[in-house]
Amino acid sequence: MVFSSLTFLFAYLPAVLLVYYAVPRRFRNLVLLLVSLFFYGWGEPVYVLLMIASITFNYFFGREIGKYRDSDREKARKYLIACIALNLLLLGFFKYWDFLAGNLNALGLKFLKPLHLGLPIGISFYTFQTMSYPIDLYRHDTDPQKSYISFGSYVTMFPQLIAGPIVRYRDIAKMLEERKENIDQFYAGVLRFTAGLAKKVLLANSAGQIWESINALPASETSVLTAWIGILCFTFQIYFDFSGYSDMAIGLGRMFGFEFLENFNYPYISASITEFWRRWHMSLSFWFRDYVYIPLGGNRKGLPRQMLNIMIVWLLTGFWHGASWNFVLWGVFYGIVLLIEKLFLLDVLKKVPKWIRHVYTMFVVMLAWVVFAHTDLSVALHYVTMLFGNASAFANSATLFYLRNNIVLLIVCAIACTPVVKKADSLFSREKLRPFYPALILIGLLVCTAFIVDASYNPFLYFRF
Amino acid sequence: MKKRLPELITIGIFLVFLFAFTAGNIFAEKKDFSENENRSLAPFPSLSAANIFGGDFDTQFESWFSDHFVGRDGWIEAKALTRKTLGAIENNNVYFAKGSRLIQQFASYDPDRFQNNIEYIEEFCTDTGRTGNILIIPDACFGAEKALPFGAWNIDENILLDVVADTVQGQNVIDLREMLNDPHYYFRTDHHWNASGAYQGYKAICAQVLATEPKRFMMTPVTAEFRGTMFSRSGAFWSRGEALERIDCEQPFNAALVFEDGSVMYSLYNEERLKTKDKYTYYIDGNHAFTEIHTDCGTGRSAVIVKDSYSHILMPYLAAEYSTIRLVDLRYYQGAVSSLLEEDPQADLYFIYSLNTLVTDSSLGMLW
Repeated sequence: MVFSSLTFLFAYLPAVLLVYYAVPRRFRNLVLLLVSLFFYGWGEPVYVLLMIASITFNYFFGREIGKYRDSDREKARKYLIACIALNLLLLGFFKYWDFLAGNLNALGLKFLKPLHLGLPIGISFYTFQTMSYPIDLYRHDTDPQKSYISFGSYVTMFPQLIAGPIVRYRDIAKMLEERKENIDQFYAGVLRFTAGLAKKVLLANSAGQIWESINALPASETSVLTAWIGILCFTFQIYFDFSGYSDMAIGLGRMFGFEFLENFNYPYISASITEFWRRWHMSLSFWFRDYVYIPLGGNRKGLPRQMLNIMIVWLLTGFWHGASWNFVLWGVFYGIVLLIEKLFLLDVLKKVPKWIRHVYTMFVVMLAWVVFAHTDLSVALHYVTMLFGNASAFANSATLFYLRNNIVLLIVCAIACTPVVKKADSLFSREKLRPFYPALILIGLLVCTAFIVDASYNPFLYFRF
Repeated sequence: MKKRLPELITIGIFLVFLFAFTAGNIFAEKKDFSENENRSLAPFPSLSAANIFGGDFDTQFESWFSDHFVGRDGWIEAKALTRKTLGAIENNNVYFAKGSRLIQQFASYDPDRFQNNIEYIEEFCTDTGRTGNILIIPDACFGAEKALPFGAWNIDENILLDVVADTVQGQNVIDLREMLNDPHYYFRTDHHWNASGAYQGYKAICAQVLATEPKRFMMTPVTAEFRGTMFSRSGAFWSRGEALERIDCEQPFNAALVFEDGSVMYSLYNEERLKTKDKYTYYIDGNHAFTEIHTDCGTGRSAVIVKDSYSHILMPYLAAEYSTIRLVDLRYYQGAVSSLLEEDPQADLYFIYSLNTLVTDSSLGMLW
C-alpha cells in the first residue's frame, strides 16, 4: 500500500488515526506496531514473519550488546558482528541472490539457481535502519530498548517503513517513550503530508508519464531536444517521487508525535556534486558516512586511503539502489566525480561564475539519471548518444508537442525544486499566509484525489480490444 | 485559542476530507458496470485464506476500492478539467481540439505488427487468387487535422498509408486521403468517421470498384445525445452530445441481417441501441463475429468484407449496391474467410479497417 493510494487515504489512515487516538498513551506503541505489521503484510502477508524475525533477533542481540558492552568488549563485539551479519544476510539473500546467480550463470558457473522471490517491501530501508541499533549500542551512542513492543514499533513504523527516511534508532529513542502528540505538531504534519502527496501525485507522476512517453518514441520521431526534455522529466520525477514520499513520511510521523530528520534539502540547487550529495537522500549519505566511511578510516589515514574509502562507499551506495549493474555503474560514476572534485575541481569551480557551477552540477546529475533509469546499459548508452546528437533531428513537432502540452507542469516543477516558496512564506511572515492554508490544503486534497482516481480510469473501448 | 484558529480549521478540513469520503465509500451504492469505461467494475475480492495469502489480494482490493470510489466519474472529470485549465492540450491521449472536438492522439505503434498485418492481407489475396479492395480509413488526427490545437503532434499517417499502398501493389487500394480531409467527416466525440465521412468512402468505392454513379441518400438525425469513445476516454464529460443519423437511400430498399447465431434483424438499424451509452451500435447492431446482410436492391452483386467497426456506418450505403454482404470480424470469427470466398466465387473481397486498427490488430493472421 503506497501513501498515494485511495486505500491508504480513505481506509487505512482514517482507521489508524481513530484507533491510535482512541487508546490511552501507554498502548500507542502497541497500536503502532500492530497497524504497521498490517501495513507491511498488506502486499505480501508471508513476509510479516520475516519482519517479526528481524525485530526479534535485533532486539535480543541488542540486549546482549547492551549487557556486555562495558564489562566484556570482546563478547559484545561478537554479538555485534553476528547481528550485522544476520541483517546483511537477510538483505543479501532477498535482494542480491538472483543477481549473483544470474551473473555466475553468465560466467558458466551454474551451481546457484535464481529463486525469483519477490523483494520484501522496504527491506533495503529497514535492514539499514535496524543495523544502526546494535552499532550505536556498541558505540555507547544509545541505550538498549527494554520493551519489545517499543522496539518493534520503531522497526516497523509504517510512515518510514517502505521508502525512508532511514531513521536511526538513537534519533527517535526518546520519542518512543515520551512523545506528546499535540495540535501544533499535528498541524505541521497535515501541511507536510499534503505537500508531499501533491509532489508525488501531481508532479512526479505527471513528469513520469512524459518520460515514459518520450522513452517509447519510435526512432523516427526522436530528437535531441526531446531527449533532453525526457531526461529532465525523469530528473523531476525521481526527485518529487522520493522527496514527496519523504515529506509524507515526515508528515505522518508528526501526526503520531514523531520528528524524523530531513531527507532532502533542495538538491537541485547545488553548485557541485559534493554539495548535491549533502542535499540528496541525506539519511542514506549519513548512514554510509557514520557506519562505513568513518569506520574505514575516513580521511584520517592519508589521501590514498581516503580515495579508496570514498570509492568503497560509492560502490556500495550504487549497489544498495538495486541489484543491477547500471546502479553499480551509477554509484562508481558518482564516486569518481566526487574524487575529481576533491582533488582539484572544487577549487576550479570556486573561480567560475555561479551559473556555470549550477549548469555543471545539473549536467552531471542528469547524465547519471540516464544510467539510473535504464537497467539495460546498452539502452542507457543509446540514450546518452541521443542527448548529444544521435537522433533524427535537433527538434521536431514532437518536441513542440511535449513543450506546449506540459509547459505549466515543467515550470511548476522547476520552481518547486528551489526554496522559492519557502522563502516567500517567511518573507510575508507565517501569520499573513496562514489564513490561506486551509483553502490550499482543501484544493490540494481535492486535486490529488482526482488524479489518483483518474489513474485507475481505464476505458475499455471497443476499438481497442 | 484565537491564534490557533487557522490551524484547527486546517486539521479539521484534513480529517473531515478523509473521514467523509471513507464513510461515503462505505455507504455508497455499488455499480457493476461503468458505461463510460465500457467495462465491468472489479468485484469485491474473495476472502478465502487461499486468496488472501495468494499474493494479489492487495491489488484486487485496491481495484475494487478505486472502481467503486464515491463520485468516480466526477473525479475523473475534475482531473481532465484541471489539466485543461493548466494549459494541457490533451488528457489521456485525447486532444481538446477546436469546436469542442475530441481527437485521439496517435503517438506510438508497433512497426512489426503493422508490417505483418499488411503482409497477411497481401498473402491472403495471393493465396485465394482474388483481388482485395483495401480501404484503410485515416484516423481523425489525420483527417480532422485542421481542428487540432497548436502544438499537437501525431505520427504521420501519410507515411504509413504509403507503406500500405507499396506493400499490396497487386490489390486495389482505395485511397481516401484526399477525400477525408475535413473535420466534419468525423464525429466530434467519437473516433469513427461519421455518415458524411462514410459517404466519401462510398463514393470512392463506386468509382474504383463498382464503376457506377453514387446514389443519393438522405440523412435523418435519430438522436442528439451520442457521446462516443473520445468523450469517455478524454474525461471531458462536460462535452455536449452530437447527432447520429439514419441513412436512407433515395431508392428505398429492404434489408435483413442474419448474425452468427442465426438471429435475424429486419433493419440496418437497431433502435434499442440508441437508449444505451454505446449508441454507435445503432448501425447494424455493432460488433458481431459474422453478419450477413440481404437486401432487395436487386443488383445481384455480393461482397465479403473483413472489417472493423468503421465499416458499420458504411453499410447503409453499400447495402444499396449489393444484394448480399457478408461481414467478418476476425477477432471473434471462428471459420475461415477463404471458405466464404469459395462458396461465392463472384463476391467482391474487401478489407475495411481504420489505420489505427491496422497497426494494432492481432487477428489478421486468422484469415486462413
